[in-house]
Amino acid sequence: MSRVWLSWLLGIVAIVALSLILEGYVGNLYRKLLLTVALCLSFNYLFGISGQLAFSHIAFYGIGAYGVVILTYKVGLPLPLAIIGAVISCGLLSFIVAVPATRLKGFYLALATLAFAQLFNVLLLQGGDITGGPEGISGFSAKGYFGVPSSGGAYTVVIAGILIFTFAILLLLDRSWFGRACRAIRDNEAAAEAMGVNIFRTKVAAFVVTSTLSGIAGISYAFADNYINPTVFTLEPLFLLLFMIIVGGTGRHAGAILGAVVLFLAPEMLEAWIGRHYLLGFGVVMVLVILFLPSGLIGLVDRFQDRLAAHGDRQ
Amino acid sequence: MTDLIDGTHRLRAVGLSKRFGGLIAVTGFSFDLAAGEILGIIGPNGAGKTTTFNLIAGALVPNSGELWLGQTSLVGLKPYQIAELGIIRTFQHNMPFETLSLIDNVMVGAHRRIRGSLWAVLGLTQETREREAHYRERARELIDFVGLGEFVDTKVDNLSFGQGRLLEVARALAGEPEVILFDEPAAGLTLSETEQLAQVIRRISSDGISVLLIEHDMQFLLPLADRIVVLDQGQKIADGSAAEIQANQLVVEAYLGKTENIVVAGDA
Repeated sequence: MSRVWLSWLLGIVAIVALSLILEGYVGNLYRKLLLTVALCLSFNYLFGISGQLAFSHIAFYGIGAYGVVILTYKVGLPLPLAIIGAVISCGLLSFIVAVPATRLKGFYLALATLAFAQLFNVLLLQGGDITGGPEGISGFSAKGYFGVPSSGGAYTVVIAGILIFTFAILLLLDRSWFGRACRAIRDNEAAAEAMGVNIFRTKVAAFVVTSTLSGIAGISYAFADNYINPTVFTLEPLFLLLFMIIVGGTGRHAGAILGAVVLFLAPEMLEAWIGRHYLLGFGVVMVLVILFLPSGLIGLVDRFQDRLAAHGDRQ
Repeated sequence: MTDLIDGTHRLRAVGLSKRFGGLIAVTGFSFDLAAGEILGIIGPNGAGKTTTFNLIAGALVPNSGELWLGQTSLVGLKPYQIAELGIIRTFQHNMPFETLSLIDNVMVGAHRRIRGSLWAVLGLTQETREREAHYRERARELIDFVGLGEFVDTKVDNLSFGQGRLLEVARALAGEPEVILFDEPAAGLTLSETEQLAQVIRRISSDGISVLLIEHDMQFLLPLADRIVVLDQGQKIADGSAAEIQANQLVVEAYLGKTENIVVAGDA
């Protein structure tokens, strides 16, 4: 038990230390990686654990980001109030989407949330002065609040904190009766209901919690660049999250993290060779993984560990 | 109809009827189930047995009739609400949670006992943890009880069909139900698995849990059931002890006589 806690502690220390060390281009890349991992973790809970293929996850990321910026910059609320307002907006909107959408299954849930995501993007583009249209909003900053500068390593620590917060919430949920109920519904809805699981309420709760976590990540994203625009919140990054989760290992936190790290860094490493065509490469990789590694990269890691353990036993 | 309710009956159906378009699946079906009683429901295919289960479990709503668990009317309740009240069903086919371990499968069965508020989960309250630990211990005991102790932490796909059946029994017991509905539990089991299942069901009923049992395997059912009701074309045609049922001319004509050769094999 204490060993488990120690490894968690080491992980947190490493994440925070890297936040303080990395600077410039690499520091910026690291922030985006932390945000991507946080998004992958919450989307994995929604899609991989709760079994809801919803395409609205990035839209809620955008609602968090635009929400906090509009509330501070356009409405003129102080930042702490704006953050609370943005979180509540994400919670309320995700609830409004979830109530009808979670009554739909599979393909139809995907379609309904796809429509919502598209609608959100159209609103961003057509929002005139409020959203800044295609150019988005720039020139704001979070300076002067909480004593945290909105640039440099200190702000990266804030983003690292959001990631750790997201992971902690998801782990607590997953290891409780709630997580079991989510997985049971995903595996067999009728059997879960026969055991007394309220399917509707469980699905709505999973949808609202994960979407709100996505929104919270979005709030911290807004002050990472001090610039937001609609292209960040389209369907392309959503499909990227889906790729990451499937390649990493659907339904497992470690898989989501691994997938996010590998597929986030791959284009950076490979750009010199294949240019901006990495999405095509991702498509090929995903098909290969689905065909040959149904449990994802994390399944490979498992097999490797099993073999190591077996090897250790023999000696 | 409250005058029909007395303390001795736990589950009671009065004039239960269900039509599917022009087809009458169940009509005017009444029965009582006492605490700790094992009641068998038999009848030819299409007699309305599984429809009756679906009506009790809330998967179907009756066109007319009443259903009572003690003083609580069940008509119009959703399946999860009926499970919350303590009526747990099993299905004709195994319905495991495939990606969960055996113990987590059984823990889902205890959902109605463990479930609390989401805030309690996030707050890691002592009470939440204790309840979880208590039911995890119980789940282990139940898995031992049905003879699957060696598989407790493995995935469900390591189990044979018959073992999967026994797991469903453990899962149904985990929520400490008042009534269990078994839909053909012995179908597809080996002889030794059938014997184990009969033992388990006897122990369940001696603990005071009422058992409603649909079964085609007469060698399994006749010695096990305290009482048997016979359905034919949606109607009850007999109600009595195993001996009375076997002596009933109507029953022999409608069901037992015709299926004599199936009875021996034990997989109707």
